[in-house]
Amino acid sequence: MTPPTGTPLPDFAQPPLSEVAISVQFEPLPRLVVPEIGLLWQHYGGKYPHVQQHPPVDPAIERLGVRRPRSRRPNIELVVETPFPRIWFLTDDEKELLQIQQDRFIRNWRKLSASDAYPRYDDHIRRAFVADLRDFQDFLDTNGIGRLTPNQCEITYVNYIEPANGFQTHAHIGKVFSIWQQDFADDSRYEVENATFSVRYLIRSDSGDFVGRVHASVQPVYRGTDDQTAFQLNLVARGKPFSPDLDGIMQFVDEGRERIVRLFADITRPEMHRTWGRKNQ
Amino acid sequence: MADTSAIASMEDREYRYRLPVSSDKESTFGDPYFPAWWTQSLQRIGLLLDLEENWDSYGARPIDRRVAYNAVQILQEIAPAGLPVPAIVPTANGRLQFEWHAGGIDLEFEVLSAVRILASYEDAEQGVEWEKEFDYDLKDLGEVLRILTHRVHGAVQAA
Repeated sequence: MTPPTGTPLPDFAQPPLSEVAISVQFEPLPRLVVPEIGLLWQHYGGKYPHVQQHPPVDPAIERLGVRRPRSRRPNIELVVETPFPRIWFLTDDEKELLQIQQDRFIRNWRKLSASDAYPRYDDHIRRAFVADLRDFQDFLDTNGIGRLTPNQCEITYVNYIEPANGFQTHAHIGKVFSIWQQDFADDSRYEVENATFSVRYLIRSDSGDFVGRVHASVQPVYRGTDDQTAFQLNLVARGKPFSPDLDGIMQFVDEGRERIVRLFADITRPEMHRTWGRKNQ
Repeated sequence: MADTSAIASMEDREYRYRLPVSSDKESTFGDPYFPAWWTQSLQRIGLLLDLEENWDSYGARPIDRRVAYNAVQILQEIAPAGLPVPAIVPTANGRLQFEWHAGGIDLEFEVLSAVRILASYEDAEQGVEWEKEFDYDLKDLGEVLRILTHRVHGAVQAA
């Protein structure tokens, strides 16, 4: 699959990232139950010393021919007698974690303090995900739990955009995002208080076949500690693996990451890029 | 809108599906939000989920709950407004087959997993017939559901 433009990927010295997650969904592993999770925690040892338990997340599959977005459908949950939770395995500083449930493996990096620098996709994020996923498959093999049969991959970038370059309140959405027409925001007939938007883009293969989607959503937020105004920009690329193995998973994840980075640069204004230290135009 | 649950108890098991309906007034979304095929199908599936091992006396397996969940999710995503209520038939290998036989159309599909659907379609009126396996691209399956719906509603209006 060729890159959307073929030009070098936009690069930022201080991107406004607060979290990056890579996820793979697979056919459920019914033998991955509580005792095996205990063995897995033992296996991780000091690498992931902390554990938390959370409700499982529903499957999310990108399909073509869908008539209704998920939010407009009745929500159905099929309750089983003993639903298996989603287990978090966290590093000692809790900045990185694995989330594991019977049909999903997720690895997150998150910014917990202002001084935390984004550790970079190529330098760390990708490498750590591949290593941990391989290790997880080895654990499944060793303990006779089953093989991963992936059916969906996902990479998520969560951006927390703070005021800069004329952006002071949520009314200044046009100073941050290029797809918001600033002329409209400046029109004195309309006193904008805030705005949200979401857009979905299709991902197709070189031959035009459906692969997945990129979802972009913007919400006005306030920082919990000091009520500072900000915009949260979520970029999610989700789709099918190119082949049902690690190579196929990473082909999609790499493609999704590239599309997210290009989209981030395209839907935000050049004035904001200077704040984030864009290295290449 | 307040969140309420409809619970149908069958012996010592519970099948719960949450509906986002208001607790003190009818849903503002109106009938199309809860189409007839959806509510009737869930009731039927609830009964089928209670089938036990060897339910057909030839070694049939109980219905796989995840398969049932996937099937309903997929149908929700592609069903057009006014879709006729399907016949839902359990299979010996623990899956569900959805069938429509109306308006000169025979359509059947079976959900094998979240990304594998086997379907067969025959339209006697148009002389079209196929069998396909679908994965992520469900356009053609959605299209024949639309054709079926229009054919049936057209026949109802003509009558």
